[in-house]
Amino acid sequence: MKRAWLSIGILLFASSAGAQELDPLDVGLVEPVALKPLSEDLHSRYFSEKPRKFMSDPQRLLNSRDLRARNDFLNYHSSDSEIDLWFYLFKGDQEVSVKSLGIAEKFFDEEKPSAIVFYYMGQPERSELMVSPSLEEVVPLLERARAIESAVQQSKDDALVVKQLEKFMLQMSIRTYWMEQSLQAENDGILTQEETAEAEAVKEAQKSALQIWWEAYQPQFWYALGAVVLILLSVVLRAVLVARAAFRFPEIEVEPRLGGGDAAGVGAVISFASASVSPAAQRHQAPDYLKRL
Amino acid sequence: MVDERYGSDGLKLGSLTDRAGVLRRGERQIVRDAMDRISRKFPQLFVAIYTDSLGELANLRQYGFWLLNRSAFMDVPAEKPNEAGILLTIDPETKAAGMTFGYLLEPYLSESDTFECLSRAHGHWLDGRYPDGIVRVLEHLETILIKRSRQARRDPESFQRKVMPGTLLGDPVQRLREGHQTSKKNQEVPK
Repeated sequence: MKRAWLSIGILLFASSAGAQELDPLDVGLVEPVALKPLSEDLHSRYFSEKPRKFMSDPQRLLNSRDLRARNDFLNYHSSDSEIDLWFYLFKGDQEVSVKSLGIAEKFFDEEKPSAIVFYYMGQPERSELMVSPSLEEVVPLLERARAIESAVQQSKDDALVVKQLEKFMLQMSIRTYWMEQSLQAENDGILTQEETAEAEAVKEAQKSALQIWWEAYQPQFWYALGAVVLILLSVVLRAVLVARAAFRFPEIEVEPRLGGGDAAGVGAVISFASASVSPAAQRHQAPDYLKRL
Repeated sequence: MVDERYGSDGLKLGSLTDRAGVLRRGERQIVRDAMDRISRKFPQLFVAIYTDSLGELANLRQYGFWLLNRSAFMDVPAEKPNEAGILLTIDPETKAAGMTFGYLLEPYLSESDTFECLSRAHGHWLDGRYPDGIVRVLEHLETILIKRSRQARRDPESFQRKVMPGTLLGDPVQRLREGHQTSKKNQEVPK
């Protein structure tokens, strides 16, 4: 936390000092020289494997004391930061094709993110910054460019090459703080998603059998319900239609009987005088009206 | 002959005439509703109910026959003649009930059908619940009439044959001869 406030303070001071467009010739360095590509031997010494220490100096451009001091600084930075800083030191007149190396993906695609600097002694303005794959999408190019620019600006305050490196490294360490913020924001988003996923998983496990059944068979349930409703409606509709239906009889000529002008359909007669005489006992009825007559 | 017994003058009645007083005011409406239902279901027909203590002098079957032929039911529309009527006659004194129907229903209803209708009311009338019994009679009557109407729509000739007079069926002797010739042809040995 203290380091964060310190970094912010330094940054604000640096900003308030006024940003100036960096002119490589004003850095107080040696005049530009013709660049020489790295020999194969040196190439192998630098890039055959991942450096064992944060400061990689196969050409021994720093004396042992300075090298040790720089490594201590980077070790301290690593212990206090979410992003490791790695430095490759080259001579000011050497040229290395950064992009063709792909060392960020090769050596630094690990759990802890890394910022890798190719630093040219006496030529800090030529420094190049790479980030490990985990930081590629989190730290935009603009932010990386600003980090380099800021570090270069700080380094030009001193004419000594070693001091330039020291100040450059300090500023880069400060700049990684902002990269950490970007990373933290990204992780918070991921964590939130993970927490949400975990909560949903817990919720899923806590679902009752009915809920599980409902989710699995909800479409079929609605189809079945629709079918039942349709059947019920059709039954009701049929009942209504039947209730309202009217029935007719074809008129058939019938011979008059017994002089009756309108009726001769002589129906049954039933007695309900006694419970002991059931309708079944009265079923066979003899037409007694003729007898009476 | 029936006129000699009961008179030849017509009667003016309502379709629901409760001279015996077996129906209370609220019960009359229940019975009226059941009668109207028949009229709606069967636009050609009407139901008439007559209750009276006829005494020993009256034969219920005769009386019903005479009543349907001689009565003018004042609340029945003119387009429904008595031959389209179904008369239910109830004598609470002798505890007997009869059903008579007009010529329109002669091909479609039988004595057995009307007996089935009256049987539905037997238990109710035993207990003196006349309106309940009447409603049961009309409900069963409706069921039978619906069935017969549908049958008549499908096969009207079957009902025509029931009521067709013998003369219209042709000379019975001629029919016998035709039948004999047909059977003789069937017995000839094919050459």
